[in-house]
Amino acid sequence: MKPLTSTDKKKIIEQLNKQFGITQIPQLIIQFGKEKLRLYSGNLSKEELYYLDNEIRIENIGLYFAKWENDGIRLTLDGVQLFRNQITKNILELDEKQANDWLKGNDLDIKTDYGWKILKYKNEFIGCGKSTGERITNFMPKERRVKS
Amino acid sequence: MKPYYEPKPALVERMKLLLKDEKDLNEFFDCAKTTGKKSIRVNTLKISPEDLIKRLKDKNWKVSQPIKNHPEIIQIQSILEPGELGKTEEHLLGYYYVQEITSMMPIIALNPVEDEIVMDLCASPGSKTTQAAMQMKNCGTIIANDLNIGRISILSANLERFGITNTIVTRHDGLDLCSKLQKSRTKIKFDKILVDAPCSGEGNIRCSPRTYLEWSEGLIRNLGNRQKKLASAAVELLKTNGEMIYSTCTHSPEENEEVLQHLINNYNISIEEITLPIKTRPGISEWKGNKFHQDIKKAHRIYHHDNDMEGFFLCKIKKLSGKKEI
Repeated sequence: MKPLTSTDKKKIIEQLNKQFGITQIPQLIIQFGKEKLRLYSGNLSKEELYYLDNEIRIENIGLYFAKWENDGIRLTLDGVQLFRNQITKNILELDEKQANDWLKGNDLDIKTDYGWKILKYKNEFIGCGKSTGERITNFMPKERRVKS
Repeated sequence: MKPYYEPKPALVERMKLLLKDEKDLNEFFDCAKTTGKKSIRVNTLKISPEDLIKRLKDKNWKVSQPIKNHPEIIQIQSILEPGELGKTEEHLLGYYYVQEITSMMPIIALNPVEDEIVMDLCASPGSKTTQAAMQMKNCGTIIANDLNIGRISILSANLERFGITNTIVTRHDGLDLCSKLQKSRTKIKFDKILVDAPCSGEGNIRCSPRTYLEWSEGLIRNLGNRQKKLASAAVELLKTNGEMIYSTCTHSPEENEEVLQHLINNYNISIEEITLPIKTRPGISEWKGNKFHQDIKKAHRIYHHDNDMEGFFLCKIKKLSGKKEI
């Protein structure tokens, strides 16, 4: 568990701004392992968190909202939900059938430009996927998929 | 059709002592054979009750808001397929939590607010933790603890689904966690603590009929001893004037009033008056020859046939300044 410095946090906000238009993250960002990024909005200081982790071992803290990938940052479904009021770029509007397929965990055969996309159906942001140019890869964890 | 098991004679005898009126007792056991209505709690961090209700009505579900001043509590009047409540898009997006209404009472009573430091000592699956975080608007801090790795996974998944950002999850035996926090360099003390103690589950008989099979007086004695230790360890971690809810989903006095009497005997605490928005009965004053402190009547006993819900017990405790003179 590593609370990020303001310099590291700035890099993440810059990347999220470039990808999705997100400009503000008021919460503390904490890195778990090499890639997982979590958000903590609580009122304990970094020092208190450090002591707690050493003394009682923190299993999880705050919300797992994003993951560093080779070519950018992938938002989790919960990260997309949290930043839904800030997301302005790389939004892919789906129709009802595509949205249903996506929520079931399926990839979507949609041709669009390469890169990370936020999936939207009507007013609902329903995830983040990777466009290969030919299709959108789905990262929805099994336990969160809508069952048929 | 749900399975039904006959209650053991010793349980029937004990319930006769708690529900002395024969009609009342019969209603209790008759109700145990029935299934209650499903209920959900709206995640107001993500959606308003009005907007969620509109979406549920679009599915042709009949819903109601049965508790005055708590629009976030919704009861499902329609008969749904098994598991249907957990399969919707709204559930997946974390717009609601499937939770029995009586199980919402401890957080309504605890009333955690923004910027407080709160502990949920036996937190999984996370219904009450998410309720507390929602009430705190994701501010302050909650330490949510449970022991088993499988239960921690469920707790974490529910916190994620609900968009909870103010909570720290730990995996310890409750007593060990309290002991470690006592020695912590953070010197952390809590404004509010919930001890929703593992119990014999007599109040959950409608949704968990196997409770009748697993029930025994020995189990109750063991659990009662464990609960006294757990509640005591939690009181030690309260700030002066800090508040704690002690709750169980059982009716046995060994796991309820006797635990409160133990706290009164050993700590400088007061039992606080609380008002709940459903029908409750006062804590009992005597059990098998043991007389309890008069303030224990301020505790709330909830029987399933009083509200057509599950059974529960809860009480609010306040830690006072100074040490108990014994």
